[in-house]
Amino acid sequence: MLWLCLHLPQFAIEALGERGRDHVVTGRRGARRWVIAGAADRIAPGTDWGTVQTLHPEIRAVERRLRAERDAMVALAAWAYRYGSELVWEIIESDLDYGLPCALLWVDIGASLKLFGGLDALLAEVDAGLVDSGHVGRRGVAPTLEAAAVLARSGLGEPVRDAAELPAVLDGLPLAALPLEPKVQDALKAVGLSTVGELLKLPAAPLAKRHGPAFTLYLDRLLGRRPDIRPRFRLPPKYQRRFDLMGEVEHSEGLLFPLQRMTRELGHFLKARDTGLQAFRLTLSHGRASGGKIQPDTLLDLRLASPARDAERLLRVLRERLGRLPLPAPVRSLKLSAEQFIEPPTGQGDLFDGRAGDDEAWSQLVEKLIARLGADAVTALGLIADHRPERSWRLRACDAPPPSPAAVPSLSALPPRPIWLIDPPQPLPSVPARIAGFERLEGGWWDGDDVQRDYYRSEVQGSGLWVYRDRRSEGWFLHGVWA
Amino acid sequence: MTAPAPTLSEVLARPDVWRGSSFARVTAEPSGHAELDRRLPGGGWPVGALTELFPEAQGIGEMQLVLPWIARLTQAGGRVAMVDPPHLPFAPALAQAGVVLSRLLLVRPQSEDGGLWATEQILRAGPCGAVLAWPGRLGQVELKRFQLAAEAGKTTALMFREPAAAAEFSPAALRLKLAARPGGLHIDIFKCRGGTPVAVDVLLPMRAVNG
Repeated sequence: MLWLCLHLPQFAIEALGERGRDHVVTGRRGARRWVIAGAADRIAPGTDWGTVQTLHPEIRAVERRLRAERDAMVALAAWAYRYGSELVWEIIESDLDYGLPCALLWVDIGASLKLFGGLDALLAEVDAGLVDSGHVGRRGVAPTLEAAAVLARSGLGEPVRDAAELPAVLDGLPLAALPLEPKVQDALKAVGLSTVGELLKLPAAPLAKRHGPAFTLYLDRLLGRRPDIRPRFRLPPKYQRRFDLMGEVEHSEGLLFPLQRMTRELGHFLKARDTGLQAFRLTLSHGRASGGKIQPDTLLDLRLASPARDAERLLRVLRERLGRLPLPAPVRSLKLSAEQFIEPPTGQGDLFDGRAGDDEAWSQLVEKLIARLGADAVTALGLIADHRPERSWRLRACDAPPPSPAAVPSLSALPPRPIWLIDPPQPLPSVPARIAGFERLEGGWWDGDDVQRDYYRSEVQGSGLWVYRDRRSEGWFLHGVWA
Repeated sequence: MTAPAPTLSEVLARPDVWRGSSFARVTAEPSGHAELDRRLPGGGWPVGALTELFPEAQGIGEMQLVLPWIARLTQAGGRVAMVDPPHLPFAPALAQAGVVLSRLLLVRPQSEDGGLWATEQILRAGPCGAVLAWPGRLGQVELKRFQLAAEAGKTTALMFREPAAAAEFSPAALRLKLAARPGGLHIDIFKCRGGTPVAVDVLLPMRAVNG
């Protein structure tokens, strides 16, 4: 096992999705309030809020939202899945005054080194991916979970591959680098210990007696002497990701930036689950309107022409749909959810056939058209075995598979039909001139739509018309054009 | 001191000099009507270009003119889009003409703008080999955009337009006026990139029945 640990000091603000330079997340205990994360270029985490207000009056404070942090962690875990299947994450609350929460994500990369072309190549990709997903983090690599976390938190980027090397690497670190309880920290300091090396030299039994078995268990796990059996993270079966906007967004273009991030996360999730989706939903929450009444959420159900997991494709569909949507009210938050997943067909690439790329372009085109014009406006045609003209055709969804040849009614016995159908038939004011090509159609008594018609071809100023006389009402109707 | 005057053969070799007798090569799809194909440069509907058809009235056989080609295209696995047709295309008639219905995309937008947008998207995307469109009024800008989109997507674009629009200037590669004749169509090829304007009569079997 080789654990890669990512320590994310700014996670509390990153999870809120706002990377505005002037926002900080604060912790609060009683009357005390201090900065947890945000505006890292000016303010050190842990600074008292009063001090911040004096020095940087432009800074705005926001409350911490644990739920958002958990959601963001699941999204990050979905991304990290590509580096290994064993994942653990933890958001450690600190119960101290001025304490800082700590977000940690571990992934076991031991089995993936070859795949990525060695440890260095893998770490370079992790670094790039982390920046891409908008997080700032430090990493540590070690054979145990605890050691990887210690390395990440102390900023020792140098990977440790063998558990036997661990004592030497940890030797010079101050005791504060270990996540020990303050009580234990103080007790160790009181007996004159200051580095991890000094601590590790002490015999285990007296330490256990003095500081409790949990303490020696921690040391054993740190050095890999005892296994660390934490439950591994599994991706949830359904996808749901909420994103709160810092301000109100009035135009749909303003939603594209957060959506870009959201679709990328969804793409990571689909890739980690090795699946795809064909339908998903975007919920726009508006909050309270100015008049005080609550504006109901706007639900957008989106469909793809074929299962997909590509973030760009999802974003493209959203963009088309939002482009023609006037927002009923300013948007406060977004939610992207998907419940049903379909594995996208992995086309076997053919070296000499361009058809696969063509189908891809076709799906994208149809999606784009449907997203903008609606599914009713973009269709295919199909046949129905019925001799009444108005019932012999139907609209088909254009992403439906083509009907099997057996299901297609035979047309060999059918007299010629006009290209355009006038639907519904239009009554003619008088008997049409120059009629020819007689055909009698009757029937339909079995489904209550009984017709008794005599069809003729007619011609008016060069235009070929398909007309019929209703034998019950004696009226003449236009039913088609021979174009 | 002046440079020596270039010889005639040097001038003719310049890429920006064109001669009336040699035409640019046009890639085209046979329309399926031999009389028409003989007169069209490349022998059919130009690929990656805009063709405008101006039928003098609806229902004179304008669809019979294009259906053989649509049928062949869909049977060969190609895709065809119809954007904003004037009436509902009647599926049994299309099937009778040999069109593979599952390869036909029917786009019927609510608004004229939607139709223009869809036409351009389909032309540009390329997976449809042919686009038949019935746009309303078209300005120079839209026509130019369609022409460029058809070039980008290597799509054959056929626009059915009002006869009055034939008098306007257009960047289309091919422009045809269609008039009814007993048993067929009289086609006036009045603009034709890579060829000479000419008129031709085409017999249409369906019209012959109608007489």
